[in-house]
Amino acid sequence: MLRYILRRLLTILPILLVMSLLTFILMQKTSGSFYDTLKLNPQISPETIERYIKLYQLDKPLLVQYFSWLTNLFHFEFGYSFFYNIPVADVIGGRLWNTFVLSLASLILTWGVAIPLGIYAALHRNKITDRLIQFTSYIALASPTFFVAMLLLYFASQSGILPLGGMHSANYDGMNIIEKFFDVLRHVAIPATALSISSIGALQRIMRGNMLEVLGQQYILTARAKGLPENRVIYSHALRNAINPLVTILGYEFAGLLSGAALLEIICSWPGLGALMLTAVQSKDIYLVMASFLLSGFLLIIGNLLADVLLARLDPRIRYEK
Amino acid sequence: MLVELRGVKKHFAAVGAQNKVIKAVDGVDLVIKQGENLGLVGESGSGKTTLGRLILKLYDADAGSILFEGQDWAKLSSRELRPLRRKVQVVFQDPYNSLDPRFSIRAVLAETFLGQKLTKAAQEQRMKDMLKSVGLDEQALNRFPHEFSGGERQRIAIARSLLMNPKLLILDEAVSSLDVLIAAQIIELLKDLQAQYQVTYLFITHNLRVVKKLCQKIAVMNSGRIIEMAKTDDLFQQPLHPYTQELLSAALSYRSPKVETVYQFGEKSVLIDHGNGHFVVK
Repeated sequence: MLRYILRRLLTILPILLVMSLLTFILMQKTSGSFYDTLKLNPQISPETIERYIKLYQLDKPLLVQYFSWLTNLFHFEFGYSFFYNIPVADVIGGRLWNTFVLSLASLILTWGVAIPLGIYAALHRNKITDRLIQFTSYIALASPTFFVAMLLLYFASQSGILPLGGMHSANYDGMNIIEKFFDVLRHVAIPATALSISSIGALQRIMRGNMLEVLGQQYILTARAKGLPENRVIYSHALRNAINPLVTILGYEFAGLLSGAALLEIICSWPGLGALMLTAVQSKDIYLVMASFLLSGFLLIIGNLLADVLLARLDPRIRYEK
Repeated sequence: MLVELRGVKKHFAAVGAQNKVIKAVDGVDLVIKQGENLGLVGESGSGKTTLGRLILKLYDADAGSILFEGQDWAKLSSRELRPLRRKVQVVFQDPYNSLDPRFSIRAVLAETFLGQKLTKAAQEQRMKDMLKSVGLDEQALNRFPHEFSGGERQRIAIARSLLMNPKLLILDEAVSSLDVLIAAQIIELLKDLQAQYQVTYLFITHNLRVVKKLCQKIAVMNSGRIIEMAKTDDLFQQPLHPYTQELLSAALSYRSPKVETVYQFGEKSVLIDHGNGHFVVK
């Protein structure tokens, strides 16, 4: 197992290398650069812009730029953001945490609701409650996140029970730790719910399907025939087998934890990474883009690895040796 | 009398068709005596598996009654029923999904001791003894189902069933997915185990040859009804119903039956005694 993990970790390097090179070329080869908009600004002298272009080596050939970025990377230098004029790491650092908070809240909400709902629906298959859950799920699946967010924001503005945007109240700094927690919770409620709605619909259906498939297996019939209590049949035999395929999904979700949802972050004015990445790409803030993409790629790979390892722990049939 | 079925019916709603029912079991009278193995023969769709599951009480009968040792389980609450379930156990056809893939063999077998007061050491001993009786090494305890072949898994399934000390063991196509040699070994094993564990078999199969060695009595099923029932030797020597005759010649010449195989029965068609316990439908 350890050798397997090690081997998988080694493959990260070439993947990230190719990914970063492609991103770099794509960013540079598309027309325009960050300083093109500044050139139109009469208040900035051409000399200043020239100096910055020299400083960031934007006049050098593409590959030279890439390799100087790459060598800096090994010293944990991620470059400067053109837009913010501070190191990229500092820009991303704060945003990363915010996105993490939002994604984690949404993840807990999704799984906390979808899994029990799916189990309940499977155990009450084709009864009226199950039909109701499935019908609602279809609607949830078909609702775009931004639309749900806008609806929720509308209701919040009408009732005034939840804040309409941002992550903290104005008096956040004066609060104690518990008040701070609940303040963030109140702010995260709307974006997290909007992010979760359609995932709940999807995950619930997957859980229900898995559960139904497992409940039809002969070992479930045998367990019933053995006179095991129904609870044991369902939770010890059926659920453990039905939850397996979901572990893979959890790995992907982990990868998505930090890449965030740009559109939603913009609508709910959540100061997260997604919105940052979007504006960075638009304004061609190259090093910020590179660092963000590198981070997302890294997390995706780690997330997949985590899912594979978790699956091997849970399912005795899966072994990665050889 | 171990099991007695009187006028048992089980109908299912047909999928996709309104008001249409599939009469899986449509009025079956049947008696299984202690120590007298019964072979229940018919092709797929004849209702034999449903009948097995009705006796297991995995399904509730729509009409008629099933008495186990004179007791009607349908009248019991699920709490009262649970400890009784030990008495009827089952081995299914597909060895690849009759064992929970997440349970080690030890966990699979140990689950049969739930609700029994047995020390860990006694449990361990019983599991090892049982594995030995079905011809497996005790090392098997630490392994998982996927590490075994189909035949070995069926042995494990048999071990699991017998650890419950059942009175009746239902073998639902238990050797049908195994190759001929392994199937023959399992049949021999079942014969040996019968004396040791005082269990009666209900062997459900589509293959007449399989039950010949193991069962004293054979019932032939078609369209949810029993159409012929006789002692094994009588049935093989003198099959009375044309369907049985076809089934028999098919079994002996390794080909599939070719007569019209789905029969229609009215309310009035009953089993007629032809003497010596040989019944055939009229």
